Amino acid sequence: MKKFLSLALALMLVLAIACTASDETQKIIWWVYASGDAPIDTQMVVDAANAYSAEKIGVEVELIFKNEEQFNLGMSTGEPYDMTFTCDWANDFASNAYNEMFYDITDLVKTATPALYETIEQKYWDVAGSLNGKIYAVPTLKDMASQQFFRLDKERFEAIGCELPDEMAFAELEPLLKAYKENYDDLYPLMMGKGGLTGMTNSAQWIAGNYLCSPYHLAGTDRENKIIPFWEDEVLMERYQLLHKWYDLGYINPDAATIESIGADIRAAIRSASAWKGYYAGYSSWAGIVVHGASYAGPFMSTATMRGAMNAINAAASEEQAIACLKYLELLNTDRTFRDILRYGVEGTHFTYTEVNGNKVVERTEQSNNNWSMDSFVTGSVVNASCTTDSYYDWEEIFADYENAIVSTLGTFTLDKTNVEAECAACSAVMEKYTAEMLTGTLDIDEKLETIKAELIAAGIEAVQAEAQAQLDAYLAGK
Amino acid sequence: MEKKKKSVPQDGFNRFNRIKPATNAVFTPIFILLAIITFLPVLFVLIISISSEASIAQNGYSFFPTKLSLESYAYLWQSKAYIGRAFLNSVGITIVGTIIGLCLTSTLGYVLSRPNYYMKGVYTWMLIIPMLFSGGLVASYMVNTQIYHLKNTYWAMILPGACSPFYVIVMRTFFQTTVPDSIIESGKIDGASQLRIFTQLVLPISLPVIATIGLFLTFNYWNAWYSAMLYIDSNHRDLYTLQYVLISIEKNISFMARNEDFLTEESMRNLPTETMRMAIVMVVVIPIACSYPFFQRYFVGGLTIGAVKG
Amino acid sequence: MRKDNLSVKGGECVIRKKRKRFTWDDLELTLLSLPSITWLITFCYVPMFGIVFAFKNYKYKPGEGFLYSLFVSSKWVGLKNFEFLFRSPDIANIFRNTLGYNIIFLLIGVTLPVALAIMITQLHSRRVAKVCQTAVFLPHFLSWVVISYFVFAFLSTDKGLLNSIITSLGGERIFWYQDPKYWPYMLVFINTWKTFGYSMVVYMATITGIDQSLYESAVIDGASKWQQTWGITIPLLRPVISIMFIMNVGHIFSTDFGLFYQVTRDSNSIINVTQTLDVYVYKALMQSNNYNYSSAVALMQSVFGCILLVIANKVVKKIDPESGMF
Repeated sequence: MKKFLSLALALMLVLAIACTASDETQKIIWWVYASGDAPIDTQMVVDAANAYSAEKIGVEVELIFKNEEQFNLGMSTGEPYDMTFTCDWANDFASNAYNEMFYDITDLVKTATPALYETIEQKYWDVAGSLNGKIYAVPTLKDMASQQFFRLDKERFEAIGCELPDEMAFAELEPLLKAYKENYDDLYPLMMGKGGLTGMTNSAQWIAGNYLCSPYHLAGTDRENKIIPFWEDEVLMERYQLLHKWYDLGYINPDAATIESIGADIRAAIRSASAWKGYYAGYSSWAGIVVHGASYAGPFMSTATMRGAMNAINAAASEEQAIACLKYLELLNTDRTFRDILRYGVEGTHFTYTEVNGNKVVERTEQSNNNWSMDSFVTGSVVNASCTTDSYYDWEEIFADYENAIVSTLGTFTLDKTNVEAECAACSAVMEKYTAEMLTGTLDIDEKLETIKAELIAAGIEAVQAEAQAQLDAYLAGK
Repeated sequence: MEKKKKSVPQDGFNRFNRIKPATNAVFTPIFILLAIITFLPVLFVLIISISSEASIAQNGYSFFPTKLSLESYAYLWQSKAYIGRAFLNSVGITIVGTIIGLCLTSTLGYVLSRPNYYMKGVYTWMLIIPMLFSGGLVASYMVNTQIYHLKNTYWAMILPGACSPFYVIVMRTFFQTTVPDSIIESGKIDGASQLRIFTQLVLPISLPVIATIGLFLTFNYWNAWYSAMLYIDSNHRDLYTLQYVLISIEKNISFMARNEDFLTEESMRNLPTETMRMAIVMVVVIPIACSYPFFQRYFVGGLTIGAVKG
Repeated sequence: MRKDNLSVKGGECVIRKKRKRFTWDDLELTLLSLPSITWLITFCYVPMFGIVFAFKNYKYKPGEGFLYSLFVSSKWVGLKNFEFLFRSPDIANIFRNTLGYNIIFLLIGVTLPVALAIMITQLHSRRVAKVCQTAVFLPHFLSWVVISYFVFAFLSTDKGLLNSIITSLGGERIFWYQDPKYWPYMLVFINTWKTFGYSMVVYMATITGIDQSLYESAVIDGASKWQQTWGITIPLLRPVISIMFIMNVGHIFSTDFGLFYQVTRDSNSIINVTQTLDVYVYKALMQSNNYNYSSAVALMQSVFGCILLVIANKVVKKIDPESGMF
């Protein structure tokens, strides 16, 4: 009997050791963003990444791609996850953080993963990842400011004798449009889809929907930190008026308000984008032509520009899981080899390392372009990934340049819509009636403004404005 | 009971009872015109799918593209392993779903058509309420995933839509009006159970309505992608259905096309966006359109002739 | 059908409902329908607690269960979730559009497909009939997005077919997507085009199920084709027509989102004639993704629809007691 008992005990001990030994790697579930479907080679890449991360930090990840609707449903019904992508345009950070859906990592990130804390500047932690003084998400380092550019068809414009400056005002586009229309008749000079010129409305910070804003150019005036309806922003109104003038002159395609976008194949003379200095240099592989970038606004920095991509941890996660997530992010932000796996794929199959001008860059294969292709910010810091052969950016220089950016005076302020939710919904619906035509110049803003104003007031915009201003004043007083 | 062949109705009595040739001469062109109007858009989609992307970019959609090309189909062919698996999934789900759906719908429809059935009133109300009232997306998602654990299974795409109250009512009405009571009575007199009456007497003469509902169910299952989007995670892609795969390919393309103005570092390859969309539509529509003749066979009349004796 | 019993009690006539007994037959039928009823309960009734969203301000709390969050933690807000709907200055317009279009669709839906179904069964050439049957079903397969491309090809300002024809005949090109006056007709036409094949099939199935001997005896009595149609075919189609009618009345506050949003390309200028309730809700909630609000609207659509359905059923039964849903 004794012999049997001691044997059983020994067996149990061995089993216990075996179990804990295999329990070494922690598994975390990570939700990331994909507009359509997950890339085909996901399993291959995740396996490679897991092999690396299990060895280095003992954490493995299960990567699930979700689109906006799936994010909303998953968050609302409490589907289990550990870490999730969040930003201001999908899986909204501010409202989720308000509702305490995310883990408070203010202290944890400094104690458990100080290296991660060091890689991101204090101002980004404060403005992007925090709400009410507590850190709820890890910002993803990418272009943190928004600068508006016109991307011009260099060849065609120089052929007709136009000079292309590096910086210009919005209105200075007109002579270019006129010259283009006189000389080329195959395309409209300013082609756009129903979204209008990308980034055109970024000269103001949008507090509620696309109807209440706080323009950057008001800083330093007596209207600083005032939240105003869009019609009181002179810069924006001037742009709407110009667009309508250009529409009437035939510079803009008449069906702009009804089409999704201008296809990539079309050699549009002018496109607009939000980018950073030095992005447009010479030949653009997407456009297939030589382009020139002229900046007409910015660079601006605010919560909106910095919150383009972040990762947050589930409030219901245990502390161990939270630390595992933070460690994983730390690895992504400090280890370039690891970052490249998740960014570009498996070395050898999807890409190879080469050198260009003394810089180590990545050359992607056909398989990578087809089967593992997504925006870089989806899987982590853009800055820490290697650049590719056809697009090299000196991120240190770009970040240094942000010292010149126009920073928003509103700090981390975000509107809490709880008391004015019905008014917000009604105002959104009113704006949706007019916004496509405003942005494309189809609508005569001077003519229609009274109608739009009246409808918005009936929907309750004044209540939203008062609430927002009160919250902003309280926030600024408390800073 | 023999199944009548499709060419029956033209002889004897029916020939005698036809509409006048003049009326026929008026009706026929009307239907030919209708057929053209309904077929034209499908033809249009087909033409776009074989146009070259460049000609679409220049001239917009047109019945007479300047250049033809199969680039969109070639692009889809590249993902054939992936799409092939989704195709098999769709076929499987459609067949299983249709069979289950028909069983559930026809049994309930039959039971509700029996005038003396004790629970008829209760069951009819139980059927009509869900037609109008629904718990909503969030509630059903939560119930299906957290209580029934259907997430990432084939059943999530088969079960939720299987028994639509609308189809049950259609079946019930059909059974009430076209199945003569005398058949049921004779069955009962012969001592058959309700199940036997249903399967051996009622079903064989109800082929038109079964074919109709079967047709609708087949289309619904074949075209369904929303339930795949809700219940199948991206790491279980081998469960995807064809429609969902194609829609997500299309969404990816639209996203990239739209964001051409945004800064994405992905180089814009020359994806055949517009033609691809139409090619996707073709790939989905053609198999299902080909299945239609299979059901058409059952739209036959005269099945009750001779069923009632004396 | 109730079996009424007449009885005489102390000189008065009393009509008494006969108590039905649960027979062996009933047991068999209950068992036969058991799978279906189980399905109904599982997938329709269990999730029905979701109606509560309409009256609550649901916020999920991590760490708690979903049901706990819904029933215990979230606050009751009464009718506040309906408020956003009535803040819109267009609300009367929205209801007019929704009901107006649906009534027109309804009336067309009970006349046109029926007439066509009857006609197609009379064609001499079965081959033409078969081809047409297949063709009319095709629009059902095309999604609204695809249809919107097709419509765009016709109506596009610069390259659309219609404008090309107009300009080649010397006219001025029309800005179709900016001009409201054509859209009601176009939307009715497009919706009819897409849906008539579907209902036609249901009616055709019913017609083929009609006992031929009825026609035989009618011919012997000397009835013409026209009289046969009105005397036999239509009365036998009436039950099906009436339930299709009643069910569509039940959905009279819901519209097909794709038709009014995608085919119109969400063009702002024509919104007064194209915005229905579902489109409005979509636009209002696009930014905020508020399930409480969308539930509230859905509940409103269901309740009004239900009331109208019951009324429609009563009306139909007055005309023809054999038809009607219940």
